[in-house]
Amino acid sequence: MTVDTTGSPTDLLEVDDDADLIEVLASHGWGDGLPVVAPTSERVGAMLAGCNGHDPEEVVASLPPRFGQATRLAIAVNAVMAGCLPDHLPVLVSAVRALAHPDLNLRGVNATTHCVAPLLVVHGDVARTAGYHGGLGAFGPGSRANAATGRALRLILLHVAGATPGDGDASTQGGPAKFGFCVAENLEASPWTGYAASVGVEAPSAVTIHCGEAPHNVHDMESSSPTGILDKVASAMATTAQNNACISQGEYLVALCPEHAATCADAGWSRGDVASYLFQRARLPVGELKRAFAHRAWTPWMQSLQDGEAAPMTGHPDNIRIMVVGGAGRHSSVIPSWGMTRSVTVPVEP
Amino acid sequence: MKLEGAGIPTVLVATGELRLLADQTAADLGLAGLRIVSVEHPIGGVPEAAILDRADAVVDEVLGLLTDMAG
Repeated sequence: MTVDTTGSPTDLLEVDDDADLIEVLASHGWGDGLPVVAPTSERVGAMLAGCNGHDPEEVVASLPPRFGQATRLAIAVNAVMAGCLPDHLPVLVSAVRALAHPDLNLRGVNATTHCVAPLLVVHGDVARTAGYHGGLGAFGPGSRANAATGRALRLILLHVAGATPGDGDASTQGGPAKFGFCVAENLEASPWTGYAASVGVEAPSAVTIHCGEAPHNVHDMESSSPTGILDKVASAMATTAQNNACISQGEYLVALCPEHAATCADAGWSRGDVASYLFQRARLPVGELKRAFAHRAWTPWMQSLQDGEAAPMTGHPDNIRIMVVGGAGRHSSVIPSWGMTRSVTVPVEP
Repeated sequence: MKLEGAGIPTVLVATGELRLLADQTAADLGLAGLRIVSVEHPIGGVPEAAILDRADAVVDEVLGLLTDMAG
């Protein structure tokens, strides 16, 4: 078996057919610890068909900390290893473009001791055509598209960006989201326009990268009004245990389940209304925040707040990002960002 | 590292636990010879007086590296 290991056609590794590929890769410091599909030249070539003839050698992005060059070929190698299909490749290529956007601060995301992982959200037509799942159990197992694409993005971070624990990723505890973190927006069940369009990306298909923590559950079976549900969302946001508490540019991705979103929309609330309400309700006493954080990267108007007042958990309602994810039931989630990062949405282009 | 990259002589101070990350990041940025001084880990959650003690313990080394550069 000949395995293409680095994305360059000249970098091929001869491996015995009966070799333990996980161990072979591990001996080079590659892999995520799970079994991989051997990225043979034939498989990588078939994967590249997903990019419709675009140059395999073109550098899509240079990814820190190592500033490795993510060509379509290198992306395809990792896509094969993770178990992707060719239809997933344009999503992965677009995700890499988003990762490299300066606002996202990938160098910081990889270097921090925080548990942050890039969440890849797939929007629009490609979610349907390529099998991305935004319904029941969307953040969990069962969808090849979600699992393989999320894993491929992490393999790209390990192999191309060099975000290996220790010398390239300083996360104190790591986290399960660092194995793979990909989901689709449930546009069919959303009462609002698609998320990508709401942030100004008008394209048939798009991806968002939001660098955050694993989802924090919000359970509300009881409320028949938006305020009951959103007060619980606000309670999940308002904690001193998050980086966002001392960084006012921090974002919250609020993934509302369809039933919670419907309760809000049926009462006439727009996506912006939900964000504005959460901005007002997700607050902590200034004195408590000052005791928790000697230094606060707060916008000037927040620095002027007095101890007896309540400070919002982020500096602007636009930092609270609302989308619909999941299936039946009344569980939503809050995904706080790492703080010194901004989510990035780009069109899906091969 | 941005300062060093801009031509401003720099000494980077890192805690021992994060020295590997500092060394690799410097190498990734083409600054493999960057002067790096290690201090005791951690910095977070440590009283200010202890931080000052750690700074005092390495200040001569930092100044020496800067002086050597000037020489």
